[in-house]
Amino acid sequence: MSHCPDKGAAPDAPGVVVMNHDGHVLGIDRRARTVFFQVGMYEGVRWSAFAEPSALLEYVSMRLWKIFNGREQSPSEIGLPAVAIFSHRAGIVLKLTGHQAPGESGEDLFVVLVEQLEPEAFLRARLMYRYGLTPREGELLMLLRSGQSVAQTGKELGISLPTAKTYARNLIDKLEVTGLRALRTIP
Amino acid sequence: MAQAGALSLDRPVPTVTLVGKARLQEQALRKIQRLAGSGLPLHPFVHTLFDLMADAIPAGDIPRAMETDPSNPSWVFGNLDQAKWVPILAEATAGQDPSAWAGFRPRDQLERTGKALFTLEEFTRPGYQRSAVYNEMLHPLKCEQGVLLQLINAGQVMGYYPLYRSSAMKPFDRDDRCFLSAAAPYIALGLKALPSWSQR
Repeated sequence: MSHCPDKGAAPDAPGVVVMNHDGHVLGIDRRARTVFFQVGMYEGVRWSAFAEPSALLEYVSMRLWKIFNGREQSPSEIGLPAVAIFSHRAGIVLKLTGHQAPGESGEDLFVVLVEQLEPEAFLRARLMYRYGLTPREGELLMLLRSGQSVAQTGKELGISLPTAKTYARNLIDKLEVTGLRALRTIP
Repeated sequence: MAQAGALSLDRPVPTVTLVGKARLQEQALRKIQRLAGSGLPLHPFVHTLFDLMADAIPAGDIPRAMETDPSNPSWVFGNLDQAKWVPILAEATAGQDPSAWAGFRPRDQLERTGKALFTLEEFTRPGYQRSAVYNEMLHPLKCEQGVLLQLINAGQVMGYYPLYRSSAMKPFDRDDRCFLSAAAPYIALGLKALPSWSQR
């Protein structure tokens, strides 16, 4: 089946789900499968249900249909590209981008790119708790990660340059990195 | 404009400071205590915990997992190719009571002990290494040594957290078990304090 692009994806490439105009899933790659297994478990789907491969396809079909079809339209009738943010209260957030694409026999397909997002608030909290940062250090780290200079972060936070530099040095020590560049890219 | 302070902050690689395991685990325990009161939702909470545990109890690329809500078992996985392994696990446990898989001690037996930590011998049964879960999933993933945390808050089991290492890795030692036993109540507290997330 040519609707399942599984191999050769870049490490941070989005997952891919291919649906027909009725909302049935024709193909789903490994990355998207992994994301939807986890979302399914958060939604109370027993994993024993996933022993049958078709169960995941049905689940994803239902889930994407609900997300994209709140307007009682088939996917092909939705304005494209259709972008939806799915945020589950367990704290998993997906960006879903739907495109229309022609299938092998000329039929319209609905291709959904699935990206897992980490909202800024969660990222800041994760880094704070992981590295034992104070809330202020967490704020400064997020500003540095957004590309601001130390001086700009100081202005933004209403602190003097020497104080901002002290915070930055503390961050470098706590995260055990060698400098600002590494600080900005810490995963 | 040149980045203010950039030069003075970019340092050469610092000399390596040897931090003992006890110190690392002590730091991790403090961070776990703090995380327990974070109010983060389940997904970021558990993944932050996985990172902290990886610092304190290194286990290389071995997958991480936590079972939450034992009344309707649901798992959070880290570092696991779920697309491959969830169907295999579902197949290996098909038709079994999720609280009493073949090869494992039933959860009600574990719960009655009130203990926070079980060694592999304590949370499995004779024949474990012949069970489908071990042979189809755990062994291929090199989850060969293990301990299990039972996460209890105010007498209620909030979840289970197995930690594994491969047979080539250092065994879990007394310090590891002490650290994990100390961390378990805080993890349970964190699960108890999670914002409501279940749609069940």
